[in-house]
Amino acid sequence: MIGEIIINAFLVTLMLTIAIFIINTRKVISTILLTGTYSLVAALMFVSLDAVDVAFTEASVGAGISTILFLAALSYLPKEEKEEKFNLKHIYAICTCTIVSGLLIWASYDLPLVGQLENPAHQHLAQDFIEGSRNHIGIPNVVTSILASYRGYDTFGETVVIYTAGIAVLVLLHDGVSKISKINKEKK
Amino acid sequence: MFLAVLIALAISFLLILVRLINGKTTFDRILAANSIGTIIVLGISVHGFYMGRPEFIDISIVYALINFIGTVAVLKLFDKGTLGDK
Repeated sequence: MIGEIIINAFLVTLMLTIAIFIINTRKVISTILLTGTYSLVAALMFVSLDAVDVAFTEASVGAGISTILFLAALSYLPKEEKEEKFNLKHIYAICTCTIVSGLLIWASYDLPLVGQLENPAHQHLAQDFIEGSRNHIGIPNVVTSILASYRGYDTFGETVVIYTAGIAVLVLLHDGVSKISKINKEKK
Repeated sequence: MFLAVLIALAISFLLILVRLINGKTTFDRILAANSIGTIIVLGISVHGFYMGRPEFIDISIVYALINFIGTVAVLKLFDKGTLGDK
């Protein structure tokens, strides 16, 4: 028990340290590498909290795909990086962040406490899923049976939406990308 | 026993993190990020045995693969300047 607390405290401290350094670094490539490291540590945190499937997703999406997507975007950026001094725009951003986070923290006081038995989430459906999912569907893991079977149409719909959004972005951006590469070729 | 290994991993993680933040060239940082991935893979395996649930080792295999893909992507970007879409 104490070992678990120490491990979790260590991981949270690490994540906080990495986050502070992500804010402080000025080079884009260091930021990308640090973000990948951050999500790896976050995934380890999820493993330690026994949420293995979430850790799986975090590792493959957070550390794998988004790092590669950031790198692909980086290859389109100019090589020289420009420093921006502290100005009015930053003050607006700080104000917005403070107000929004204050509102969210205020709203969080209305939530029920984490892990209480009488919370609404544990009252009606969860019991049914935990007791019945093995006989209804035959998959030993409850989370897998909820995602793949009870919520099968949901997941299918999400996939269709994301696929359509990807096609739309490709159609919109394809013209611009080919123009940029033409300009780059003319420069060479 | 497993706790000692975990502590050793934590210490080496901190040392590599210092390198990742203070690294002189970009390649130092890439190497440090890759090593952190390796430490995480080891950490998940040892953590599984420490908590008595060693079936989580498959996850560390997935992590090792993802870590490899990420490092190859970074190195390809530095070698070619693109990820192969131009």
